[in-house]
Amino acid sequence: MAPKVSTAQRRLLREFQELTRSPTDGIVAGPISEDNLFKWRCLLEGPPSTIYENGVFEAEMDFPSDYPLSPPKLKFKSQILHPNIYKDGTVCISILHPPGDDPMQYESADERWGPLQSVEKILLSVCSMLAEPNPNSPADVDAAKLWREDRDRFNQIVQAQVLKTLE
Amino acid sequence: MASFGDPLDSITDPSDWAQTEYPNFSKLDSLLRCHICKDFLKAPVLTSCDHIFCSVCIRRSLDLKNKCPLCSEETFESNLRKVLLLDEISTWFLRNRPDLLDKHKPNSQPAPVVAPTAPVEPEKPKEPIRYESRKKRTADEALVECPVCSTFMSADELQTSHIDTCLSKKAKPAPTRPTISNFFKKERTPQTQPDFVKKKSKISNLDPTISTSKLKEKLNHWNLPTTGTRHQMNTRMKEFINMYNANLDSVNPVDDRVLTNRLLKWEGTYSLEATSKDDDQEGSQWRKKYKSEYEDLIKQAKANMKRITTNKDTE
Repeated sequence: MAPKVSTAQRRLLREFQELTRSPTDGIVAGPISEDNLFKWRCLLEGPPSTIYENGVFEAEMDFPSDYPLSPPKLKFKSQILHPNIYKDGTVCISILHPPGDDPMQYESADERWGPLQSVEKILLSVCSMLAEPNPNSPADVDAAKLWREDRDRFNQIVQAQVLKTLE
Repeated sequence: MASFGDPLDSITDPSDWAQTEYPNFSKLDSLLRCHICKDFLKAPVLTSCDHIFCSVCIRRSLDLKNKCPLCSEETFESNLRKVLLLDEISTWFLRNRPDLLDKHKPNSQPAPVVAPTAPVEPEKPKEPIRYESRKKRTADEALVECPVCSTFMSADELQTSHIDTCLSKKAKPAPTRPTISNFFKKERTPQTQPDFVKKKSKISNLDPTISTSKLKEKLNHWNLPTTGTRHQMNTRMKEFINMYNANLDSVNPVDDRVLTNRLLKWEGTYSLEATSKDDDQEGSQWRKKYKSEYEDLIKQAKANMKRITTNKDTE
């Protein structure tokens, strides 16, 4: 029973298996290739009754070799306008931040990354982030400004992006 | 999406019980798992906030921050206490799990249908339990003892199925009935560790300000390679300390040489350079992406330089 794979790889395989066995609505995720378990591709459905509804957004996850002690990185590949998503697609959300590097104590510790979190929990948090943007800590300042000041224009852009994901 | 062969087969999951006659085992199955690695508890330890993890998992986690991953309460490595009984239970379950799964596979007759979702509520077990007890009750009048494992069952069951499976299993835990061979075979009392462990004490945590030469000395002392960068040596030593200390929490500890071997294997799968390589890759990608912009900036800067120098010349 010599472990051929590392602790991180075993955990990732387990999470992949769990997501396959009992899929969560609106979420599909798995390693891109079997040679590298540390890179995942995810598909996220825009949460219902939000402007992102009906969109299928593609994202990529990068896991560190000491996962689950350190959090993965999540980056949208599809164009998506959101106050908490950087222009390059990187998601800024408390569950992806390791506790300890928040000098302002802005995010409470239990929303932060810890080894008990999982891919499923991250993607669910992202879904709820899409539904409820947090304008207080914007990653994309322009998007946040537009969201606050010209919601119609903001919605228009997102609508176009949603249509684009369905092409 | 990628398909997985062997490695995925070795990953067990509480939902494996869903399709058996006794889906409630999934509860026990998930209780015996570590919250960090989601594997069965290995050398479990208890924190000062009463939570249990694999020794090596919680030690690695506490290396990053001194908080319990479950309740976020402040927790220190020095407060961890081993729980040998639980280690024995977990080891037993892991060892007997394939057999248990096999025994409870639904046979030709349709098994009581139970929802295949993972966590099964405690109300559900009634069906399978009744099934078991009914079987026992009918055989009540003539219970016989299996000569191999000493459990009691109906003569019918013993002769038809049990005896074969019991005999084919060599690794069955020794019978409690005293036999002559057992009397001389020294069996360890439960919840105790072998004597060689008692003489050992935990290695104290690595001082981050330790000098490189002292670090090398330390690595040499434990017969570990002193190759690689300072960061690699540091990571190697830290992981060895975690493995060594966790081994002392195990009810079946292994020899130090086995640990050294495991560490080298770990290093192979962990890739100590991963982070630095990644950064470099990102950097080069960045440079490629913005190559033209860099060139523009350089041109501008050069032009500015010229203007400044020519201005100076004219002054």
